[in-house]
Amino acid sequence: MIKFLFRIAVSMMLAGVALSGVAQAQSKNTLTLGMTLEPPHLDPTAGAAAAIDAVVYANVFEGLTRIDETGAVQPQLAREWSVSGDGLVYTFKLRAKPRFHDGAALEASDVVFSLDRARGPDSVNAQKPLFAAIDAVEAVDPQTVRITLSRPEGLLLFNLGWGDAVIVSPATADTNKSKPIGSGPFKFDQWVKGDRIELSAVDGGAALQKVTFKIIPDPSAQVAALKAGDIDAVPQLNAPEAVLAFQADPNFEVAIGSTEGETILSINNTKPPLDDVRVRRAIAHAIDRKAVVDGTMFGFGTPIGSHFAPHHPAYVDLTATYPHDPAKARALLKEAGAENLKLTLKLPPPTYARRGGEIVAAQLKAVGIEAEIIPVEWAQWLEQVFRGGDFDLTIVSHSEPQDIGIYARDKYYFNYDSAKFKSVFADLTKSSDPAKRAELMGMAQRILAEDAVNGFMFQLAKLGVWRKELKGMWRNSPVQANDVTGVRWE
Amino acid sequence: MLTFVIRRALILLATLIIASAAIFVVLEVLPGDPALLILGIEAQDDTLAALRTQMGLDRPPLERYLAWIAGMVVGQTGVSHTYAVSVGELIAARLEVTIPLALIAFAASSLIAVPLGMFAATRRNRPGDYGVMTFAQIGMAIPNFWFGILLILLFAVTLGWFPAAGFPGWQAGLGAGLWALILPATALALPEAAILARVTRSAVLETLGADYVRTARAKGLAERRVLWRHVLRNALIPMTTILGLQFAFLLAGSIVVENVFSLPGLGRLIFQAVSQRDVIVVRDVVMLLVALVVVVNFLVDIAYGIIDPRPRSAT
Amino acid sequence: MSLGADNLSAARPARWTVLWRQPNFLLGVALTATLVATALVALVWTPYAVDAISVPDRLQGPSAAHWLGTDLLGRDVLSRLMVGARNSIVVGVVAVGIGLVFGVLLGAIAAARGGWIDEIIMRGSDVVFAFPAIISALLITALIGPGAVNAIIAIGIFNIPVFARVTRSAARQVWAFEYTRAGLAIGKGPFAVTRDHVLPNVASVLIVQATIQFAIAILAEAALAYLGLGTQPPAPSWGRMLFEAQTLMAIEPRLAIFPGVAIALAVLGLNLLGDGLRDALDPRLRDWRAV
Repeated sequence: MIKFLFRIAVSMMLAGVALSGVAQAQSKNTLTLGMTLEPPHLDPTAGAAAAIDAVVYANVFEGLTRIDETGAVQPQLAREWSVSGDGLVYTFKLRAKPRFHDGAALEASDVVFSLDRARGPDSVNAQKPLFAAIDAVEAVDPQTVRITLSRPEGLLLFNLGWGDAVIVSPATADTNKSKPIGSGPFKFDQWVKGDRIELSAVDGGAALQKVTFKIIPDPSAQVAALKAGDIDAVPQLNAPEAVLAFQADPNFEVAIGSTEGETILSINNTKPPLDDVRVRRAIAHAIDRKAVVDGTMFGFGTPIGSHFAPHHPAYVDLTATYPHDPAKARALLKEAGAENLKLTLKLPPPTYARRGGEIVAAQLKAVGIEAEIIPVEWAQWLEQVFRGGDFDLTIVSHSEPQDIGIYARDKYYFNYDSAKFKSVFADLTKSSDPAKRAELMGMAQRILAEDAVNGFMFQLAKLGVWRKELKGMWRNSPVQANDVTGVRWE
Repeated sequence: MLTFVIRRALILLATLIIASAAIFVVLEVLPGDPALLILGIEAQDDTLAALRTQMGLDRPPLERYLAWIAGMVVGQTGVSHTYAVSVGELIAARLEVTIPLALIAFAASSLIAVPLGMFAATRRNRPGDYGVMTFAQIGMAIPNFWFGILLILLFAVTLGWFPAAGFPGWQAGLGAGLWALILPATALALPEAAILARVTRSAVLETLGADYVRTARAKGLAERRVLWRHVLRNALIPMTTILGLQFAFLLAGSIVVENVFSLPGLGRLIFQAVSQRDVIVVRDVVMLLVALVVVVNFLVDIAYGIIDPRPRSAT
Repeated sequence: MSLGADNLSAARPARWTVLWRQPNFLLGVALTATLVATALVALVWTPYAVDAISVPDRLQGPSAAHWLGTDLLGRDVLSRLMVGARNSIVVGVVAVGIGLVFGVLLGAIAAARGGWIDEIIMRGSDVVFAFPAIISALLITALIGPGAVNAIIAIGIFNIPVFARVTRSAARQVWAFEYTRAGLAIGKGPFAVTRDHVLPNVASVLIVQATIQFAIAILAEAALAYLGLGTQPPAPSWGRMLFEAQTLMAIEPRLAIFPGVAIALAVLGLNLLGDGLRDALDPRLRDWRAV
C-alpha cells in the first residue's frame, strides 16, 4: 500500500514536471524516443510505412507470433503451435485470456477475422503476398486456431510475426488508423500530429509506465534533444555523422547494429547492354564498397556481396567475388563492346541513395560509364522505376527481412530471370529443415553473385543512441520496430 | 467607395475560383499514385484497386472538384489519405505554430524597422542614416534560411541557449513554446525588417517635404509631435501596402524557416503532403495559403481606398 | 561606406557622372563584376573538378591545396562555390528573361489595348501573384520532379506579373503623352507606337527592375535548392551546399559559412547596383523589391 501511494506521488510529480516543461531524463518509468519520420497513421495492416511498425509493433499490436531482436520467431498471442507432417496444417493455441485495450476478449474468431481481412478481396494490406499460401483459417475453439495451407510455406511462422499480420478486433478495425486498439502491453493514449505519440502501460505489462515517440525530423535536432535530455533515446539515427558526436560521451550508449536493409545498385537486367553479364560484372568491379560506406554512412555499414543480411546464420561472404578493380572493369566493358556507356541513375530521397549515388556515379565515371543522376521522389520512384521498369540503374535499400525471394519473381523491377535460381528458391520454399534451408540459401546467394544481378553494396546499419541507464533497447532491427516491452531504466 | 469595394470583392472571388481550378488541375495530373505510395512495393493490383475505391480516386474529376469546392464553402474539409483525419483538423493543429511564428516575426520586424526607418529619415545623409541603410542592405542580402542556420550554429550548437530545432508544443507551457519560436522568428524577421526600414525611410522623407508638415512646423509644433502625428500618419499609406505585400513573403519565408528549424507548422505539412502524394492535404493547404494572400491584398486595397480616397486606376 | 545615400535632388543630366562617385554603386558594380567574372572563369577552369570525389580527403579545413577546404565527399569547396556562381547567374538570367519576355509583352498589350484585354491580363497576373514562388515551385516539382530547370520556371512564372505590372503602369504614362497619341494620328499602328515610343521609354524602368529581380531570383533559387526543390546533386548550388552543411553543423560548421557569404555578397551587389541605377534613371520609381 505504501509502495502504491509512493508510485502515485511519483507519477504526480512527474506529471507536474512534464507540465512545467522541464526535461526529466532520469525518470525511472517513462521513456521518450526520438523518431525521424512521423507515421502516416497507426494501422500496421493498412500501409507499408515503416514508421507505423516503429510505434505499434509488439507495443500496441500483437500477432500470433513475433520476431525478436535477433530475427528469430517467438510466441506472442499464440503460446504454442503444432505443424502437420506434410507442413500444410498449423494449429495455434492462444495464450490465456488476452484482451483488447477496449476491454473485449481476444479469441480465435478475432484471429480468423484479422487474417481473412488481410488476405480477402477488399484487403488493403501492403504485404498481402505474406498470406498467399493460406487456404483457410478456422476457429477450432475460442483458444485454438487452425490455418490450412494450399502449399508448404517454410516462412509461415515468420510471416505471421510481421506487423502486417497483427490481430485486430472487428469492432475497432476501421478506426485503428487514428485510434489503434490492440492487445499489447501498451495502449495508445494520444497523437499530437507533427509532434508526438504517447502510449501508456496496460496494468503491469511492462517496466515502463509511459512511452512517448517524439517526432524530430532533423538529425541535428535529434542530437540536440538527446544532449539536452528532452528525449532519452533515438533508436535509429538517420545521420551517421551525428553518431560521431556521441561516441566520446560517457552518458550515452551508441549501439551499432544491423538492419534487414540490403542497399544495392539495382540494374535493369533486360535492358541492353545491361543484359550482358560482363557489363554487370564490370559495374560490380567499378564499385568501391569501402568508399561508398565511408562516404555515405561514415563507415557504418557492412559490405555485402549478394542479396543477404550478414547477421543471418546462413550468410555467405561473397564480397570478394568482384573486388574493386577499375582496370578489370574497363577490360570487361571493352570485351562486351560497351565502352563509353551512358546510363541513367535514378535516386530516391534517402541519404544512402542520394549521397551514395554521387559516389557511385563518380566510381562508374572512373571506368568509362557516364551515369546521369536523376533524383526522384518516392512516388515517382515507385511509378517509374518499380512499376514502370523505366530505369538503367537505381539505388535502394531492400528492407524486408529475408527477401531473397524477390529474385525468383517474374517481372520484378530489375527483371532478373534465372531458371537455376527459381528452382533453388522453389526448393527453399518447400523445405522446413533448417540445415537444408541454410544450404539452399547459400546456393541462392552464390547464384546472385555469380550473375552480378545488381551492384551489391552494403547492409544498412542501425545506429542507435540512448542514455547509458536505459537497458533492453533493440540494437538490431530485424523488423522495423521499437519493441519497448522489455526496456527498463537501471 | 461602395462600388469600389464591390468591384474588388468580385475580383477577389474570381481570383479564388480560377486559382482553385488551377490547383485542382495541377494536382489531377500529378504523377505518382497515392495508393501505391501507401502500400509500398509489395502492393498487389487488387489491393491497390481496393484502396483507390476506398479513397474515392475512381470517381470522375469534375465531380471531385465540385465536391471539394462545395465542401470548402460549407467549411467541411476532406480526409487526409495518409493521416486519416480531416484536413481541417490537421491545418488547425499546424496553424498553432505557423500563426504565432508569423505574428512574432511580423511584430518584431515592424517594431524594429519603423523606428529605424524614421530615425534614418530624420538624419538623412548623416552617419545614423548610413548605419541604418547599411543594416537594411545587409538584411536584404542574407537569405533567411542561412541566417537561421547561423543562429542555430551560434545560439543552439555553440552556446546551447536555445533548442536547435523542433517545437515542444504549447502543452509544454507558454514559455517553452515561445522560447522555441524565438530563433525561427528572428530568422524570418530580418529580411522583413530590412525592407520595411527602407520603405519607412523613404515614405517619411517624402512626407517630411510636404506642405502640411512645413505648416505644422511653422505653427511651432514640437518636432517630435510633428514627426509622430503628421509625418508617420501620412507615411503609413505606402507602408500599409508594403506590409500587406510582405505577407506573401512572410508565408513563403515561413515554409523555408519551418524546415530549417523542423517546426511542425503549415510549411512542413505541405512539404510532407507533397512527398506523400496526399493530394487532399496539398490542395487544401495551397488553397488556404493562396486565399490568405488574396484576401490580405484585398484588405490592403480597401484600406488604401479608405486612407487615400483619391480615385484609383484599375491596378 | 555610405550604403543607401540617395540622390533625389540631383538634376537628371548630372546623375550619370555623380553615379560613378557613389561608393554604394561602385561597390555594387564591383561585387556584380566579381560574380560574373567568377562564373566565367568557372566555365573554363576550377581548381579541381567539381565532381571529383575523394572520400579519404573529406571534411578538411582550408589549406594550400584546398583554399576553402573540402566537403563531405572530399570535393573542393572553392571549386563548387565557383560553379555555384555560374549556376546562380544562369538561374537569374533565365528566370528574369522569362519574366521580361512574357511580362513586357503582356504589360505592353494591356497598356496599348486597355479595356477588357487589359482587365483579363491584369486579373490573370493577380492569380499568378497569389501563388508565392515557393508554392508554385513545390507544385511544379511535384508535377515534373525537382531540378534546376523547374526551379527556374517557377521563379520565371513568378516574375511575369512583376514585369507585366511595371511595364503596364509605365507604358500607360507614355500613352498619355501627346506625341504618343500623335503617332497613332499619323497612321502608325499600336504595335509600331509601342515599339517606337513606349518601349524606349520604359526601358530604364525595366533595367532597374530586372537587376532587382535578378537578386530575388538568386535568393529564391538558393531557398528552393536548400529545400531540395532546385538544382540537384551532383551539380553544385549554393543553397544545396547549405543544406548539406546543416547536417554536419556539429562536426564541421565551416561548411555552413562560405556558401551563405557567397549568396549574401551576390545579392548585395545586385541590390546596390539596382539602387544606384534607379537613383540615376528614375528616382521616383517605386521599390518593387517588396513584391
